[in-house]
Amino acid sequence: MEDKLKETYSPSIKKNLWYFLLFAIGYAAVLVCCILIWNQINCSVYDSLLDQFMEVDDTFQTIDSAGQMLEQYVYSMEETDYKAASDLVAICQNKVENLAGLELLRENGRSVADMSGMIKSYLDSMERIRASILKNGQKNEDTVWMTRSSEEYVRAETILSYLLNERDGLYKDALTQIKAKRSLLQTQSKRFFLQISAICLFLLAFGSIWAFRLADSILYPIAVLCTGAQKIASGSLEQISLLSLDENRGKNEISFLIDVFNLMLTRIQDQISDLQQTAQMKRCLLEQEVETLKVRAYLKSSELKRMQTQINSHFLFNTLSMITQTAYMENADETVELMECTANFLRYSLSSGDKKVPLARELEELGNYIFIQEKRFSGRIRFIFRLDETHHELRVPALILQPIVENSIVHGLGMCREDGWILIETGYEKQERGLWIRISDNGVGIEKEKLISLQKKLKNPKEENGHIGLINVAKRLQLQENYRSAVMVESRPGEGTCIEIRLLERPENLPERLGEGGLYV
Amino acid sequence: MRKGKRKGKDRKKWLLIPAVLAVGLFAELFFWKSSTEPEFDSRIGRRYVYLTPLGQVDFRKLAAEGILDADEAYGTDTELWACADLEGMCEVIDRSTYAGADGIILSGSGYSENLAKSIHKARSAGIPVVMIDSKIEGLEYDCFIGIDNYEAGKTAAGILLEEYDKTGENKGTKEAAVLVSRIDAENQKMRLQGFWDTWEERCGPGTIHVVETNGEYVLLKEAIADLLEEKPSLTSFFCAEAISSVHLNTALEALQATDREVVGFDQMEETLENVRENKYLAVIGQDVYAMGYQAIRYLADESDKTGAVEPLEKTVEVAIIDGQNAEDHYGTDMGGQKWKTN
Repeated sequence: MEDKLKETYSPSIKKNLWYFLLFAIGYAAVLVCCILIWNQINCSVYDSLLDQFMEVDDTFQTIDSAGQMLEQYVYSMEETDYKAASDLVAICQNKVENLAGLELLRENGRSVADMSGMIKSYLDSMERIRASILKNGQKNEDTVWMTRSSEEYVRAETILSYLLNERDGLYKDALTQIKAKRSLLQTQSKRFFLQISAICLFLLAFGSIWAFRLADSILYPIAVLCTGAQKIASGSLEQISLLSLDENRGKNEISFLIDVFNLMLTRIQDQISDLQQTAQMKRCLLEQEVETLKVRAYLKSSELKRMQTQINSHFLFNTLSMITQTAYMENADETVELMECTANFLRYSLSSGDKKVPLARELEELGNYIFIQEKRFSGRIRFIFRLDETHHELRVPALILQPIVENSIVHGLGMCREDGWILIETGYEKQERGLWIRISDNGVGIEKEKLISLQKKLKNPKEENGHIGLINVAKRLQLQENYRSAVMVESRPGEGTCIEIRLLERPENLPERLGEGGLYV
Repeated sequence: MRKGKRKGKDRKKWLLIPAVLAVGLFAELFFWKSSTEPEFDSRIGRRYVYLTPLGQVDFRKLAAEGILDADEAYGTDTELWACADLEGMCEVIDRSTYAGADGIILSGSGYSENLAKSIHKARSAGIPVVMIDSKIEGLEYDCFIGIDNYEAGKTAAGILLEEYDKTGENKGTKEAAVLVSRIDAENQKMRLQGFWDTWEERCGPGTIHVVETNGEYVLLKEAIADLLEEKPSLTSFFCAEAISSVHLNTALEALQATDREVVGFDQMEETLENVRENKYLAVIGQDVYAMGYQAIRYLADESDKTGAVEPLEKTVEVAIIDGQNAEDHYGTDMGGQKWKTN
């Protein structure tokens, strides 16, 4: 994850904002420029039309001036006036020729051409008037009157009036052209603004989508981050899942923060998990320690009891020895044998305590006990041994078999009149690397409810207090460290009971298995 | 990292799309603006003037159509003038003379001394004058273009006689009336002559009655009423000029004598309407379109080359207008070309 963070992080919010700003400013500038250019074009068109109109007006004013100058010449008969008039007419000629090129008078080419012809005729008339004045010579009222009444002067006046008559038509047509141009510009402007509006709408839509995406790319990871923070604030850390982002909604600095958040969350969760495991281990250790203390206390209590027993045992053994000697003196061999067995078993039981003894020894001492019981029941109960002595050197807690046999005699066969039997078997299972000891009888058996209760107790013998029989045996076996043990019991009321002890070596790879009614520990 | 770069490029592409769109729209707009500006050609070819007192009449409109088509063909420019009166015509001619026009076309004018002076002045300034449709006594011209009026009269007589032959004698007597506005008008005189010769050849002498209307409806109606009273079985009428053609049907309707066979003259709107509604048997039309076209052709092509001292005379074909082809003889608006007035 850390490598991933190093690879994908690149600051993009600022870049995106810059792009957006560039977009907004750029297009605003383009639109403004276009509108300004458009406005400038339209203004220049209007200016041009106005200039053209002024040129037309100026031409007619010049024509008018030329007429006045001719009149002045007729009165003054000064050559300078004629020169001025003819110059004005020449200017008029140029101006009229220029009018032909004006767009404003595009429909009036014919009128302009006619005006040009009329100006030539007017100049011709002026020359004739000048010739007439020069011919008449003297300047006086009669000469002026004659000149003004002459056919040439009338002709010039007529031409001038025709020229000036053209003014109204040209003005009207020019204004019509301006109106048409204005109408065209209005149409063009309408279309232009429609297009501009369309572009603006398009850009607005485009910008809105962009802005929305931009805002979403910033706000969405923040929302995800807030959700994560809210979860942290309201719940336990170990239950929060990692934050996930939709890749299509952009990666930026905040998504990087989310990755970092996830990394931190993972690390914290790992640490919490470690702490929980450590606490669990500590608790187990503590429980084990408590158990050990309990065992020690139990052992101390047993030791105390044993020592109390030992106080009386000397008296008991001395008494038994004296009885044995007396029996011997009286040749009561059977009594001697019985006393010896009793003394041996008592010695074994009193001296062994919590010691471990080889299984062979345990079986040997069980033999003493059985001998006594055989004498006691004088053939009503038979004891049968089927022993596999291969692993009888295995050390087991002392006095684990006697209580079981005693239970069989007392609870199983106690009421038996004849044909009772107790079978003691040992064996070894190579596959499980375990030794088994089985003690079975054909006694009255155990009732179902009691059997279930017993089996349950045998599963957790440590939790049972104060028992000294089968449960005690199971408890003592569980305290052994070199093997695991299980005590199982099976019984059918009226048919008999079978107790089996299993002692399994404790290699690490040996599989754990629950036996029926028993437990491997 | 590569993905990030690609995203950056994508973003730049997104930036380019509206830019290209905007440029495209503006280019299209400015292109459209320039394409909507009509092209302007300030060049003017040779300048002619067409003058007529009756600009709005279909007959003149057709002549103007011929002139404008010829203008397009020869690259010339002709001003169309519908003058109010003869003085107005003089003014236009004088103005054209001072403006240095290259030719003047006259149609349907009357005579006045001032008009004769103006025309003379124009011709003196080297401006050729073309008359179309009808010659005016006392007016100078360089070229006349009209129909063969004698032939037109013959054609009209032929149409009426053919119809008489179809319907038989029980329709009426084999006599005809010819309506003229002024009997001394050269063109009407010729049409009457053509009619006369043809009709008398078939029907014998004394079978033609000439009615002079002076171009007035009241006179025409009275004359027709008198004639029909005298000759109630008279069925054939030939209007040898436009005004009579316009008024005759109205007069016949007023006199409840609409079962007569009439041959009119000239493409006046009312006359064309009468022939379309089968009130008139036919109308003798002048191909005025051809007259207008030929007038421009003469001015543009021939006037400088002929060098003839004597005026030139040209004729165009006589057109027989009936119910089937009357539609073709209405004048059009000539593509918006405007008549000038004074």
